[in-house]
Amino acid sequence: MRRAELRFLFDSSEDARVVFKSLTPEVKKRIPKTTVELDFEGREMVLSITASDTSSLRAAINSYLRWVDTAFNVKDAL
Amino acid sequence: MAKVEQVIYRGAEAEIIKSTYLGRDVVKKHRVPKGYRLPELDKRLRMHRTREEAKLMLEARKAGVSVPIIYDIHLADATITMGYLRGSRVKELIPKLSDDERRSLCYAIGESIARLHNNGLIHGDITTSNMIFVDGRVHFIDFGLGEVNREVEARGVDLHVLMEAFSSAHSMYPDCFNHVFEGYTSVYEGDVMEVKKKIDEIVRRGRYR
Amino acid sequence: MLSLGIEGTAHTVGVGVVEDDDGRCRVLAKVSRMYHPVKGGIHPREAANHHAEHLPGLIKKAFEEADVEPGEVEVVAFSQGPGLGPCLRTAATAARALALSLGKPLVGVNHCVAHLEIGRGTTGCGDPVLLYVSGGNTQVIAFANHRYRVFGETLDIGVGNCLDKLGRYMGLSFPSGPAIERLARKGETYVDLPYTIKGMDVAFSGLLTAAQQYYDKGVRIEDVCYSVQETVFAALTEVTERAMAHVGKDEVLLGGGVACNRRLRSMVKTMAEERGASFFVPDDSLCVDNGVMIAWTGLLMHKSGVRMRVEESFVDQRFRTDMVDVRWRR
Repeated sequence: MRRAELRFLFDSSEDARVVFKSLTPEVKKRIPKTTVELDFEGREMVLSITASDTSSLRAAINSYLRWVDTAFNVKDAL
Repeated sequence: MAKVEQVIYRGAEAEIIKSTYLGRDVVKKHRVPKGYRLPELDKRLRMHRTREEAKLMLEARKAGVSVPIIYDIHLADATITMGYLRGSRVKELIPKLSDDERRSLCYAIGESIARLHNNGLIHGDITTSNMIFVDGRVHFIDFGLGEVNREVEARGVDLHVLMEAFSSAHSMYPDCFNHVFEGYTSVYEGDVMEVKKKIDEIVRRGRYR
Repeated sequence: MLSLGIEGTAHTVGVGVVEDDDGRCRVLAKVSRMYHPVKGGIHPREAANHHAEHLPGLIKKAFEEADVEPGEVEVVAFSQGPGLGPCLRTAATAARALALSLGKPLVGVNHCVAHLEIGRGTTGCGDPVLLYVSGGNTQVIAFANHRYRVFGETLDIGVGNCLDKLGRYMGLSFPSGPAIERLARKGETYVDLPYTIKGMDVAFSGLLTAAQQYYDKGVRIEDVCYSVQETVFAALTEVTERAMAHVGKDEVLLGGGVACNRRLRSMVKTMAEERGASFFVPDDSLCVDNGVMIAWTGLLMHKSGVRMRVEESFVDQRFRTDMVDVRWRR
């Protein structure tokens, strides 16, 4: 088992809330060979990914980082 | 004396002309040229389909499936002259039937399709528009897209066409195809689960590729 | 009512802003970017990265082009499927972030249905049979019994996929449709190719193999392209006509990237004329994948009362055309 924990500190709790809620369906839906948990409190969001092997872990991290970026950058572009 | 000929149906591919032949009521199925198609391709397709259709109708009859009698074939003109069926199209009949009648009609359709498949015949366009109910029997018409093929794939596709026809034209009777398949199962000589699996596979694919 | 839509099912990422103009679709903004694979076919995760990179900028540009404030948009729509998982999930994530930031409702749109609705919304057709032809999709769709139902489809590969595979084989660039169309105009000799129709379905893999063999044997590339177009498009036109006869409709609509092909258009138009039907095709930019059609369909859905919770706005890679509850049509 491989596990990674990613912490994101946003400028505001509103940013954290938008990113958190935008990702929620993608956490529920999952990706192959991984378990993902997502939580947020205040300005901080925590993403924990557990995978059966390193390459699955890397793939999952890349995917979720992409979506965190997407959500944040969309909000930021407004 | 001039013969009275009248177009009684204009399908996508052919026109059906009511006429007489040696004193009998007949229909002529004439495959009309398509302006959108390259003439050489158009001619090739129409002649080929006319020839195949006549051949398959004869084979189907031998297999014990009701089809119209063929009186004449004119290849260059892509025309088959066949006996006129005095009955109702299954497409129009289905909504008029009771549940039991519909069930047994669908069962009988399935039995006939299995007879075709048992003899290596593929109809190619099994829709309820291509079945006519006469004297208590379902007659199959329009073998124009049919072929001789013994592969499970072809049988699956053949049944899948009917399944889609039911779900589109008769979506208020969702059980029809199940009854067809029951009839099919009772007559089919091969492994019916293999055919079932093939149909499921065809349903799954063909969406996003 | 104003709506913003995000498309991201495959190669193209697009954003559109539309307005309801008494039942017609008025396009206020239409921006997009296309992912081009370095070599070979599409790589879903690379395409998703491409979409992620461009979406924020495209959304901003769409607001500028439409000349509206973000807050004026009343609904945010996204392509929910069918399509490639990573691409769909990226577009959906962007749409959620936008809807949440603006405090506006979110609605998921079926991509195939959107191709039909944009035709109805911009060309003036009412109840057409749609021939939807793109890279991954080949379907004949019509409204029957409260749903959009698939009357015919490909049994193997999509028509655009077939053209792209042939194009790649003969060294043409991606997407190959436009190059094949240009070459076909210089074709002179028709070579026989498999013409496969089963009921209202079509199949192309046999034809693809045969065409590749002709090319290998030295048949002029122009003649290969010409013969492929004539055969493939005739088969598509034929199944469309069969569907029209089957469901009894007298309007035909084209959609999807391959609908930009002028030869296909002329064939379908001729078919329509011969059977006394009307022919419709949207602007080229609305035939290819675009955000406008998602925005427009989302608007229709929202107006008809369709609501979606953000927490449950899952994408569906295999979102079937006939799964959509078409509340906006009676």
